[in-house]
Amino acid sequence: MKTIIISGILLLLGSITSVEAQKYFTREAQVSFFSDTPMEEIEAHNGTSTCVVDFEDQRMEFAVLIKAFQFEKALMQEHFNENYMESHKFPKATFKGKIINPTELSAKKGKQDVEVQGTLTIHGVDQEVTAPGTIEFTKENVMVSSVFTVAVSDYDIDIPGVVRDNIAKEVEITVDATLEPLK
Amino acid sequence: MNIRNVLIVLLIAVLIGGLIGYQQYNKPHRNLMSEEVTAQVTAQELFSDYEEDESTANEKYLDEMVEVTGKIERVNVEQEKSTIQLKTDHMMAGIICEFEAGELTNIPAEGDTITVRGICTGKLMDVVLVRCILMNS
Repeated sequence: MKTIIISGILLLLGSITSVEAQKYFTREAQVSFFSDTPMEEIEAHNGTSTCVVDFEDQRMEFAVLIKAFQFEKALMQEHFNENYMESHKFPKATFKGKIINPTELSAKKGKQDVEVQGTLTIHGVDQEVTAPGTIEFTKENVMVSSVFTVAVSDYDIDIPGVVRDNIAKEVEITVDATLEPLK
Repeated sequence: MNIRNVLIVLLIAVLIGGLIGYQQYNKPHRNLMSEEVTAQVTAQELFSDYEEDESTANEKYLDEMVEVTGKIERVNVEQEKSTIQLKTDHMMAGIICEFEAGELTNIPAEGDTITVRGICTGKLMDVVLVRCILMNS
């Protein structure tokens, strides 16, 4: 009887502490986007995004500085900032949301498919989005990754006629982050 | 004869236009070594300016080439881009300096005091500088 109670308590403790450190954080999340048209391929990278995941309530937040996106071509970077994203007016893009599927993550499972839902704010416009991704618990860290698309027109971004064929209507966004426990 | 002259002038105009367009399309990124430094600050000064008033700080630093001196809190070397975090009196946040791939040849150690040039892109938790160049170590 005693052993049953003890093992019961241990099991309970085990389940409570399944995700040991509840909050994970990084300031070096990689966010990149890719626009593919027959005319031109455009990509840009940002390696200084912040990401926080709280496994207690499964909340997840990202923030990026628009000006920190680096393009291969300086001219594209200039147009991106000045004409399309108006980064002097809207310096940041953010995502605030929740892991909705599965409703409970286990640290013991390794790599798991997840679904995240929340508000993506780009160019000062809020949109509700749902994105697929994976979360992987390693010994010390948590790896988060996702690939999803956004429609440029959803965010009031005006692309002038002359370059309309050079920029995709839907841009693919890739997120890759290694998060450390927040002490 | 007249038409021929007009055609030649047109052809030259188109060639020049095309050349200018091509050069614009391929114009290089800002060269931080030849640009003038807009502000020379310590990591703490830059951070405090942003803590006090973000929009005033943005007017002063955003998109500008800033030279920052500070003590290294953390170095994160990656194959693509590396980052160095400079200390401030804030417990969690500081200055993040991002270096393009191959830029950081001599990697300084945590605790070293360094001077870095970079383009200020604003503040999330930390103030972020991109396309950084290490001035000394």
